[in-house]
Amino acid sequence: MRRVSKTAVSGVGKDVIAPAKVIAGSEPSLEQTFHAVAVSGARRLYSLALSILRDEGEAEDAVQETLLKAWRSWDSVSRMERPAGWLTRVCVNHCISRRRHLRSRGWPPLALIDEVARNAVGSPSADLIDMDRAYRRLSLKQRAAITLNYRHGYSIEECAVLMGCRPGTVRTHVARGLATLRKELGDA
Amino acid sequence: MLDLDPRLDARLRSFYEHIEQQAPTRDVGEFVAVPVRPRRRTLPLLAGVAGVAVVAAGIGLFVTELSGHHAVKPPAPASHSPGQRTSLPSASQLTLGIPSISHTVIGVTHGHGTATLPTFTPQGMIFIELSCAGSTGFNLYSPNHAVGLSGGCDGSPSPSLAGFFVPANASLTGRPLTLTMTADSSTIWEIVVADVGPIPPLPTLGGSSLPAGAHVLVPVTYGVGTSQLETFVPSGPYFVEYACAGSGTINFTTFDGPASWVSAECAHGAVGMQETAKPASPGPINFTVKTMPPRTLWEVMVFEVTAPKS
Repeated sequence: MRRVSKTAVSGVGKDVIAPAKVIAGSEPSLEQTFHAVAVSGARRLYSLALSILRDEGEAEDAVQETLLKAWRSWDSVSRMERPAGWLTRVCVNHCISRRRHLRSRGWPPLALIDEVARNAVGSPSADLIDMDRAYRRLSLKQRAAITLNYRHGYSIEECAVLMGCRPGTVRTHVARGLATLRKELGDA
Repeated sequence: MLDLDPRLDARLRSFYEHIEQQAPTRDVGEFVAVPVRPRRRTLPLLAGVAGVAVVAAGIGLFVTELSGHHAVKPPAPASHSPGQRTSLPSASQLTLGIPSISHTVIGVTHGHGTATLPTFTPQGMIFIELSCAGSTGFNLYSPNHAVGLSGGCDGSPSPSLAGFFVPANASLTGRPLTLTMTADSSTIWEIVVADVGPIPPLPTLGGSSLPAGAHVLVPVTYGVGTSQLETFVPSGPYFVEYACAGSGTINFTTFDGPASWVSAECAHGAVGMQETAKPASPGPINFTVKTMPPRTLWEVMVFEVTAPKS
């Protein structure tokens, strides 16, 4: 049984009637390596993006953007010594630039965050909410530097490569970020 | 390693552990390469294009005015750029090939090169509409070989549009199906997939319903909307057996012989057989099936009855 193609849609070009046939083939190796390296690391990238962005939707978008960029260049990325490091760098840079874009438009307003935090005080996770509120006071690069250095265990030099800045700048971001956290949490 | 006081260290560790416990609301690893232009670039792009257009118009006006002061020249002939920007059909154009009685299981998805589409479970006959543009062809297959389609993008920068249906069968129905599109990375494509459901929408044509001596001119052919059958050459009057499903009407036209005949309502699954008049002239018949609205599903076969030789 077969089916005719529909009448040509204006501006689309001519129709093609392609006979159906079973293809006995295996998946391309590029796709296999992509799934093995990039897609399997998606959850790690999501945690990283969420740590920097503090927004689930934005973090998911950041991971998908990272995967999309990776896929477009996978032919060359897959030949790198550490493709996972490349993915991390792209994800961090996307988070920083994306958040900068949102911040330039005043979103999210800190007043809204404060309101949410006030309403949540008294819940079992009040300590976490305090921490989250303090953390949101940090700049993007401060969050990225602390997350990469403190949580993910990258050295200052590695953080500098991932963030595209000098090691001294990373040290400054970490120190100022921690100082802000101490101040906001009343530990200073 | 950071030199942190124990209290801040404990709070930070707890905070990060809390973040890492949060799972994404959707499967971020379910990746389909979809080249979507970031929304934030749209307005600057439009503004840029508008600005360039205004400047170009100004320059053009200036040149026109300036040339008016000199010798009058004939206007330049309109040129057609061979390298026109490729654009695939719109979603509404693509879904014209999806019958209205079906439900979409994979919405209109754009991509390029190779990608794996979301998994779904077919309940009956499925329809696949796809368009591609590029120098090579495409393969669309499932790992269990229930679906295996291939086609060419015609080596043309203009997109091709193709429709397929996969009949319901035991290896397909009720089992999760994952389709993988493979194509050259420079090939762009878009696809939509719909499932008709568990009830066969159309009866089986031909078979025992054909009279003795029937000679099939056009085998059973499915279509959605207005389409043209392959041409055929009858030796005399011929028969058209048809069925359709969905709201709307179906009618047939030919440019050879009777101009237009059969107009049936499809709302209740019209099934019929029609004998034609003798074609006005010998030669191939161009036979068109028209439906209104466009997304009406139909099937047609054409045959003639040859008289037994004495």
